[in-house]
Amino acid sequence: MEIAFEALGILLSPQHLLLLVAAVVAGLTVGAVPGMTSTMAIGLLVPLTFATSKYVAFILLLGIYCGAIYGGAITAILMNLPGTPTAAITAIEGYPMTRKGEGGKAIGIATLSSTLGGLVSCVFLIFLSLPLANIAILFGPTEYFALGTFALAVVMALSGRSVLKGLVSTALGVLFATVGIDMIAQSPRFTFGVTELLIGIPAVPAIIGLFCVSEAFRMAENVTVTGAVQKTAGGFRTAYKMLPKLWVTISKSSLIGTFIGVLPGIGALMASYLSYAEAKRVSKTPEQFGKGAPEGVCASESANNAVTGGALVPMLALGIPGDTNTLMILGAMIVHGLVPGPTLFREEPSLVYVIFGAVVLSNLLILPLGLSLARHIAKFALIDRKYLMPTVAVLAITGASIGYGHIYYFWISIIFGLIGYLLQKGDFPLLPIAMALILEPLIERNFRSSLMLPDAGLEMFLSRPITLICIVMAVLVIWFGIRRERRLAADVEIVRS
Amino acid sequence: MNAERAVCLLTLVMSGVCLSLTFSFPQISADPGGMALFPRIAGVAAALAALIILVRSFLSAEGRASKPSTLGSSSLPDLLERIMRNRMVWMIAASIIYPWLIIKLGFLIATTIYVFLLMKLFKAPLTIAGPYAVTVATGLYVVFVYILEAYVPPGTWLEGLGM
Repeated sequence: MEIAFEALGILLSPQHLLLLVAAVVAGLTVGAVPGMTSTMAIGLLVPLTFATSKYVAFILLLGIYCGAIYGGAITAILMNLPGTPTAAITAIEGYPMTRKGEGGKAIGIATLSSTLGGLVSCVFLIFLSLPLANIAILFGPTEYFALGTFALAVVMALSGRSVLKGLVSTALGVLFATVGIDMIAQSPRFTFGVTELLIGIPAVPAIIGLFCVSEAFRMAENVTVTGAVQKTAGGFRTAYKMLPKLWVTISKSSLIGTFIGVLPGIGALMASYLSYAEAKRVSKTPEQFGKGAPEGVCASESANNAVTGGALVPMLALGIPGDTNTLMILGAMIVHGLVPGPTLFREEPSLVYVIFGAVVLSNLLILPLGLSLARHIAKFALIDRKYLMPTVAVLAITGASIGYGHIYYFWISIIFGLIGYLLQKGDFPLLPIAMALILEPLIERNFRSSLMLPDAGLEMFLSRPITLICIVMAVLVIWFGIRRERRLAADVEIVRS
Repeated sequence: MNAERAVCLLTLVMSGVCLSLTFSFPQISADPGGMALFPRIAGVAAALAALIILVRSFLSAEGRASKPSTLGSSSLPDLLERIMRNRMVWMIAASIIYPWLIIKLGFLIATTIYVFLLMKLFKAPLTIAGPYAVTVATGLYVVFVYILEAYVPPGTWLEGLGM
């Protein structure tokens, strides 16, 4: 309890509170700009936190994370320009509401749903991560190997449309992660005589390259965004009055969002889509969907903000990120010398509580800030690409690399930007490659360490219950992914014919 | 060639190179897994998956009514002209030169040039591109040097001139 009060004191200090408000506003703004995603916002901020204290770093990162997830809804509703991919689902109902003259009401519903969805997920974050971290104390090398394999299997099978393409991305990520000095044999792998490669592929610049630099390259292809803010915001009172009608949708969508968030690699878009489909399925007026149904906005927004708390659970407790955003935050943790998992809860309890508090407070701040600033923030969607693209490109390339003080890191950002761009053009998912960069060392080290134990053998991976469960789940997830892919292909064939 | 096939071909080449290199890795008896195991698993998986995607891609292309390829029908000068007009190509080229410029000219000048070039790609007028590039570069320099206290390359050419 003492630690919780200490964390509250840190979080509520005027300086930290001001930084959190600034981060949420920045998140709302970045989220509202089409082409800028929450991952990019976090990725561009990570390097700027290198020189700050760990408290400031995570207050900023979590504020921008929660703000950006919601921010996409503003332009999706008011201008039919989804700021983030997840907001595309919100736009299906939100923009028709704006056209009917109910833009303020839609913003009110989206803001209230986002806040409540985020808060529901915070409950799970606080009450799930600590017990999970306590269970993780019992984990040995085989369990960590199996858990890492399960996480990679999930992102491989579910983060893209094709399991095979997921496999290519995952395997490429594993190959990149093995570059450098092998930690057990102390011998170089795939260094080709290049001295810099001995240190391996640094995860943070590589991941920022994959997600942010590649996005800057993609921006160069797109035409300038034009549009106009159609309606002003407001409507919180209307949304509040609708709460009795919407609470079932909010509760269900928040639970879906939290659950999806806990699973590695699936992300907010899937949560929004599933919640939207569920809201439509149970609606008494499904014919209203697509024409401006408030339940649709509510389902999508509560689900995508519920992902925030859910995705932090496995990251904090096990060191397995739940989505691309938490992957970036994990990168920041590594840079700050923090080890997620039971060690973090044991050695940095006040930071863990600051993280909990920052997520709760960020979600609460979305309500007043979102409602009061929506109209102004929507105008940022009209920023000309000629300003946006060079700024993003230069920030992504230099930001991730400058802290290391060597030109090698610039190259890593650019090369991984090109790799990310090419992979996206070929419809290959990026998350598996990034996840493999982070998880491969953990998986390989634990696998090889297990085999180095006396009386070790492959049968030990099947005789330990947690290890066996994770391996069986990994196989099931891949099987599910293949089935889903076949079903999708069959649907496409039906539509074609 | 589309991006999917390009990725698959590059993956095949990369896996082939990596797999062949794993045979030269040392093996220690105390480490039964060995440092070659994971690269081999990843290399084989990547190569097989890329090969299947590639074969599928060619088979589905054959099955469909073949559309005349715009790439194939254009002459080399046309193709070169189209590449030169492609904003993406210029942006990638500028990004590849950027780290080299940082080494030679230093962060401040290299970043100014890089931002200026990217803005010109978007047809920004000189009166906007110039001041904007200087502002972004100076702003970042101030943040990196004075706030983050990071090492910013001063540039070998300028150092050589005693600046």
